[in-house]
Amino acid sequence: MLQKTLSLNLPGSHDDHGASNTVLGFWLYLMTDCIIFASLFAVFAVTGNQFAGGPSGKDVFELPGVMMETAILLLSSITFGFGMLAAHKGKSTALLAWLGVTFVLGAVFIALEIHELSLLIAQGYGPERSAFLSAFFTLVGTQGLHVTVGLIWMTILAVQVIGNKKVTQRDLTRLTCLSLFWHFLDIVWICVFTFVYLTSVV
Amino acid sequence: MTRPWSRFRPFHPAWRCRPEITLIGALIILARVLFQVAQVVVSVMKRNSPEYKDVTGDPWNGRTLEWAMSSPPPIYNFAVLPVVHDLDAFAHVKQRGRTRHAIEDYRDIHMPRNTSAGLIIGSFTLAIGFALVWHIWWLVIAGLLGVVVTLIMRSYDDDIDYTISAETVAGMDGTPTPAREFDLQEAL
Amino acid sequence: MAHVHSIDTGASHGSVGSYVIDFIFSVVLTVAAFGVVTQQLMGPTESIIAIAVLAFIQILVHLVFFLHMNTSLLQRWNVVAFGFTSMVAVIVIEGTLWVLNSVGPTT
Repeated sequence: MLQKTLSLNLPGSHDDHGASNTVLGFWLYLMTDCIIFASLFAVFAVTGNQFAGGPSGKDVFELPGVMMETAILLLSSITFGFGMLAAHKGKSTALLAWLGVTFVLGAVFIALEIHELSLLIAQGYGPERSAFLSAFFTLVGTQGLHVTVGLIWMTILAVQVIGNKKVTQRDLTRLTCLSLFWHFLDIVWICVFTFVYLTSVV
Repeated sequence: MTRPWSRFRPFHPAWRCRPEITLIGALIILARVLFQVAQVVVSVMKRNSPEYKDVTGDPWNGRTLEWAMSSPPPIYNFAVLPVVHDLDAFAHVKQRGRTRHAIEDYRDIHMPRNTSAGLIIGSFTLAIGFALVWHIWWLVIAGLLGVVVTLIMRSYDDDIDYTISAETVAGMDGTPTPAREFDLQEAL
Repeated sequence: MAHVHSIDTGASHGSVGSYVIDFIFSVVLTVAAFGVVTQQLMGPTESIIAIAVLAFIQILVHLVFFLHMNTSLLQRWNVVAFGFTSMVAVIVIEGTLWVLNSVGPTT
């Protein structure tokens, strides 16, 4: 009782590339995340001029703070990159050091953003004030949430690296995914500060 | 067509042919339904007759690769990964008469283990969604915590896959699939 | 079945040099964008075009140097996926703008 089977001409590659499959899979998820941000940008684009008698971007955006946030995020991207280089060489101490720096920078970014948003809310310019502010809070808030998730992820990964006392293949795959995530967030922030903050102040 | 239509129809030239055409269409659909019911009834009644029993997974001499599998398929799907050179790959393979594997063609197959992590995360996400709609803030936070904790627990799980050796695959190839896939998973 | 098991994740990784180049580029482009706006170097429309172009260039720089996107075999599917996503994003944003700008009192 033999089932019909196929003749074989196997080139020898099937699951050798499990790790790169994971990274590609994560990249595909990141692309869907990109589309989420695209729709949030679209919403901001069409409601960005509806102030309902409330403040416009010019009235409430403080560019020095934005510049600070941009610099911090950019710096955190490069420190993460250095961490990845250390990870590929298997140097777990250097990796943890760079991850620590990245975490601190990311946390400062979030703190600045929370400060800015809560200041707006305290002045009565919260997300319910006007369409422009709703779109603004949603867009910037989503970006901030993503960064926060990245920070939590970073912490757990650091704990796992410490626990393993070295950089395992699995940790490296996860770090690569996190690095994709982190750089992607920087790219989103470029769009945010250009099309939200700078265009409102022009 | 609303109800008053039936009273005015003989007098309105615009509606002349369409109801008849629709009736023919409806009769065709009725015939389809009857045939479908008949198919199920006949299949059930004749399920033990010899010509209805197929063990190869290929009762109709299929031309494409999905017919290369038994039904239900083995846990690893293809015992040897097929390399496809053209459309109707299975038909070409059968034509060339090369339907058995040589023993050296089998490789170890890397399989994932079952996990409930996805289902659990999905349930928590359902709770989050529901709570966000109805502004049940404590449930939002509880759901978020549940998702994060499940993810972290899953990330610490080391036993997430297993390998079926080439010899085992060669032995399994051509035999009926075990009734319960869990038997195989726990054995390996 | 033996194969060389190197620490390879299938995604290429750069060198210190590439990260530093990217950093310098990004700083320059960001400062330029902020400068255009705060110093009011051009009129409003030109400013917006300028900062959009600067943002686009900076995104490209990030993609090539931080995310190591190139046309090598290893990265090919990543590039394809990114291209598709850009197309979808453009359709979403442009489409939304178009549709909502064609809204009148009765449409």
